[in-house]
Amino acid sequence: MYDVAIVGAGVTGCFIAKELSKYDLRVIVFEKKMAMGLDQTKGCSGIIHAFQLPFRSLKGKLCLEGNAMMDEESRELGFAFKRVGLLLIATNPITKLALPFLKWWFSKYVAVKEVTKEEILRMEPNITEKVRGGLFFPSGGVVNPVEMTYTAYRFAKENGVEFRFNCKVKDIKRRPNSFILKTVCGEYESKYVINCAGLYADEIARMIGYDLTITPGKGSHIVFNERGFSNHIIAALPLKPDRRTKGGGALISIDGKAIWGPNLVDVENKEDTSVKREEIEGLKEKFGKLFKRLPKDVIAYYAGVRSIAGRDFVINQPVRNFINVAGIQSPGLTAAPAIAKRVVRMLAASGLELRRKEKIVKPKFTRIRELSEEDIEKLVDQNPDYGKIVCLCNLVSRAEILEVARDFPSFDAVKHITRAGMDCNKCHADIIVLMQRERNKVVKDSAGSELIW
Amino acid sequence: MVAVDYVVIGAGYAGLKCAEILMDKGFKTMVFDMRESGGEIGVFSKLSDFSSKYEKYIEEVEELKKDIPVDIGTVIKSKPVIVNSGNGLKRFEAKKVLLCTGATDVAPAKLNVLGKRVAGIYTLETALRLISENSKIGSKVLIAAKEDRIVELAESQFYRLGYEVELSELRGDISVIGKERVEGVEIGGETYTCDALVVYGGRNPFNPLKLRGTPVGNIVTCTYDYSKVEENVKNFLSKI
Repeated sequence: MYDVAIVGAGVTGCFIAKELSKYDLRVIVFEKKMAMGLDQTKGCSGIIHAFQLPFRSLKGKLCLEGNAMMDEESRELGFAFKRVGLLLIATNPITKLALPFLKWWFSKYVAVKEVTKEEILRMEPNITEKVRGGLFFPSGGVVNPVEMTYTAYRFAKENGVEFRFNCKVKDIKRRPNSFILKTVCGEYESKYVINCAGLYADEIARMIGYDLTITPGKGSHIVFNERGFSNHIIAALPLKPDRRTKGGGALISIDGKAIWGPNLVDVENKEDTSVKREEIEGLKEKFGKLFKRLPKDVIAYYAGVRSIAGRDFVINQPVRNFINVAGIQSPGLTAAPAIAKRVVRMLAASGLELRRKEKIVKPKFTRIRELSEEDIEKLVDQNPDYGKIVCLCNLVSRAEILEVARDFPSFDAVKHITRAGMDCNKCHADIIVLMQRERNKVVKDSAGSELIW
Repeated sequence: MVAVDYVVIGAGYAGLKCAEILMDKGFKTMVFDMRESGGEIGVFSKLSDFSSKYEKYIEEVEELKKDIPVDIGTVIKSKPVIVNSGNGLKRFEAKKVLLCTGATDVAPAKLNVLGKRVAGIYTLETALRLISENSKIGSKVLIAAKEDRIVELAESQFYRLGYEVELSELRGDISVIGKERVEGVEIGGETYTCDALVVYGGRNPFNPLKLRGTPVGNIVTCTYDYSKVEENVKNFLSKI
């Protein structure tokens, strides 16, 4: 009998697992994909939002709370996080006139300052001369969402949480004091169930008779290989072209590449991550206007699918000891640590006894690109594989690739967690061959996506 | 810190060739490669069609591999030269650094490969490297590429290895169809059924760490045509 079963190992599921791993509990996580964070999490923009409107909504509150927790989470778990700041720019006389009012209004909730045209051009030399002024929110930041999720997974795992990958939950039956989860990898009994199934949270909720509809909303991005083209998260005022999205921005990745997006396109299919020509042109037109030129070197187009359940997050307990954490669209990544705390409080309120463990393990991650020459030297002494670079663009060693590949024979997991092969295709064959030799199996992200036949 | 006249980064055709001449002329020269001596030619020589077409270069590289000592390690800085290898970091002071790091294929996105990012989409380079390691990447391959001798070579190579192969030009958008892996591709209104898509639209210089030095060989010519690489190397060496 488990104390808590979590359905879904995206960023929310993994952060809840991480938080619960600090207590004396038996916790298990089910994930239908090959690894954690490969669905909605991988497809998101990697932005730690400064705020989410409306401020009084649940997602608005959890966004501010999660944002404030992010430095500590990043230190505790070991993922990279940079507070690069959000810059909202005014490009016409009306939005320019509104700046003092907007500043006053925003400053009730979040740190903000007004910036002049000259200041903006100093911060962002590539921005159009048409800029008239703007607002700067220093708390906005960026992460690698898959890395963030992976570090939470590792923390949870090393502190005793069990994970079942490639393990879809087929049905859930209610017992008087527990639930039976029927999965493709067997039956499990648990006192509490947390539904973090993302796009499929509606299917899981229906298993216990709760009616929930998740609508898929696709968001496409363009990734440029030019680092330093822009240095902040940039969006133009006014902010609300659509009630359901912030409308994207000229973003940057954790390693400084320009990312433009996301848009919002209604799709029929929850798996539809196809990027269409008109979307690319739309993004280029929308954000191209904000700059003097386009960034150089398109390296990728990608889309993620948001799980939308109305306008807000749905975090509730429709039946005793079953908690929905559904409709976690933007700013879910930012809110994840705050959602995890909230869910733990809900569990405690429902009678789950929380006894903090005496000893909590902090997993260590080695990324040679962040180390000094002396430290690399010491490391190579212990394990020569750290001296064998596979990806030159992002300086990733054979040892780092094998560490992830041992958990997941997924090329996407290795690529997104280590960043090997993210900038060009030069090392892809080496990674695939290395993984094939090590695991005798290599897929892109799930069964049916084998890379080697 | 060891002082040398030349550090050559990359032990492919250009690197080995330069090292040979420099050593003959009495310059103290060191050659580094992050993978193994022989470079791309060495890898592709395992493919029969490739090896018969480029026999001359393959033989030359094989000979050079015997004569030229190559240290396996990744040069992470060029001034001074710092090499990360399985035996730790090594430092060298070089009078000159030659960048013989070669080229890499243009990314699929840049060639307008759109649609879902599923398994089975490869650059020509990745596909050739995989099949030269005896890895099977599918059964029915569509090669969407600009006209180039390497594309004909790849076509016959795939065919010889038992793949069904189709060719298409690169025109407009390449839309990938498929759920988990490539099931088909649409190019210019025409639909192809395949389980692997290989794209080629040219190459870029490969020097991601932006090392400083004199570029020689395929980092300049950016091709699969080794006669062009040979010409560039000859040109460079004639000026030494």
